[in-house]
Amino acid sequence: MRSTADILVRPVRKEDFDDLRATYFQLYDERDSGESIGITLFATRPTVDDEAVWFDRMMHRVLEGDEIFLVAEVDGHVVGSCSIDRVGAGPSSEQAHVGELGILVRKGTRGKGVGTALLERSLAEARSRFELVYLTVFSQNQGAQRLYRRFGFSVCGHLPRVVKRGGQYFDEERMVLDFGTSKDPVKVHRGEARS
Amino acid sequence: MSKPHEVLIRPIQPRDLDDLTRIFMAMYDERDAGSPIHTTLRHDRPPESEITGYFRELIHRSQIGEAAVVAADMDGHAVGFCNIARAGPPALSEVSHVGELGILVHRDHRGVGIGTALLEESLAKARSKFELVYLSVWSNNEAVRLYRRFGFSVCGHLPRMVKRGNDYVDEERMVLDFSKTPAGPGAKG
Repeated sequence: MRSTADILVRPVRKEDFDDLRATYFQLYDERDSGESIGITLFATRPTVDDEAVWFDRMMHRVLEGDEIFLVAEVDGHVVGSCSIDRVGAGPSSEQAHVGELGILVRKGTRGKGVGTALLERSLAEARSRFELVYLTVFSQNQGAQRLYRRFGFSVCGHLPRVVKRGGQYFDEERMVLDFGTSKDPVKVHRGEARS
Repeated sequence: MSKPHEVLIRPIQPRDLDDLTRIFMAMYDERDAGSPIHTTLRHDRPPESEITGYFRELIHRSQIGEAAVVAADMDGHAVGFCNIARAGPPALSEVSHVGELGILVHRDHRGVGIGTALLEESLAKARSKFELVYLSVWSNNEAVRLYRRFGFSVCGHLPRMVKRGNDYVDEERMVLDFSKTPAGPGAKG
């Protein structure tokens, strides 16, 4: 078991594209081999060009201050990422105070505290930029929900059948963390992390 | 005062572009005059070209079947519309069986049944396109009752989702599952 000391969490860089793309594409392998992964995907795998467009747009949003995007590095490779993206279109939106969280950890690196380390840093940054953070998680992904609860998130919605994979439907939970009502700095209890 | 039977509910058309832009921009007039309008906007006023761009895209999505969009037509002018669009832009997403609903009626024509008529027609169209329809509505908006009459139920309560000036507004997330609601003449009760 790797300790969190070996995990470096840092802002995203241009050079991270290949690792991030590989981490994302691996989810399609997982899904297509029948593993239950709790992330909404496209029916078919996007192209490398599609991913380049996504990456450029994300880097631009980071630069504009509309998105926090941190990566976790282990042994010189990016193995996970966490984004908190402004919900409203730009800082003048009536929803500009809300961030939407997404997190991704590479298979083989899960259960080692990468998700916890990413959440810790990302939420600390989000506190000075957003007033609330929302996220959506597959209802069956109990481990992730436990982790989010430890960071102060609570369930505020249950979205039935919102994802359809093959002929199967999945429900999602909507969760929220309100910085206005959770004044304490984020507390992390190490040793029970799941991601 | 207009009566609902003078209104024609029909598919959205390219010639509606100016009317739709006008309806949307009127929301800013209302808000800035202090009316309690229940639609999430921007703090500042967006350029009209941006709103026109949004509706041009919506008309396009309607034409290629990615959205069920109907307009309420009064004397040849659109005075409201209802839009049920595929969640997530690309048709191949794992959420492409879900439609997201948005509706808007010009302030001069509210309270006469146009919203009900728009919902009836767009939900009838959406039934063949989507399996579920989701929507977000301000918690303090009477429209929550109207949506319930059409079979929607609240599936989430999103605190402080909108900030107007220094005031916060909660939102309800609502869902209609077509597989659990028989096709029929629309609103109940």
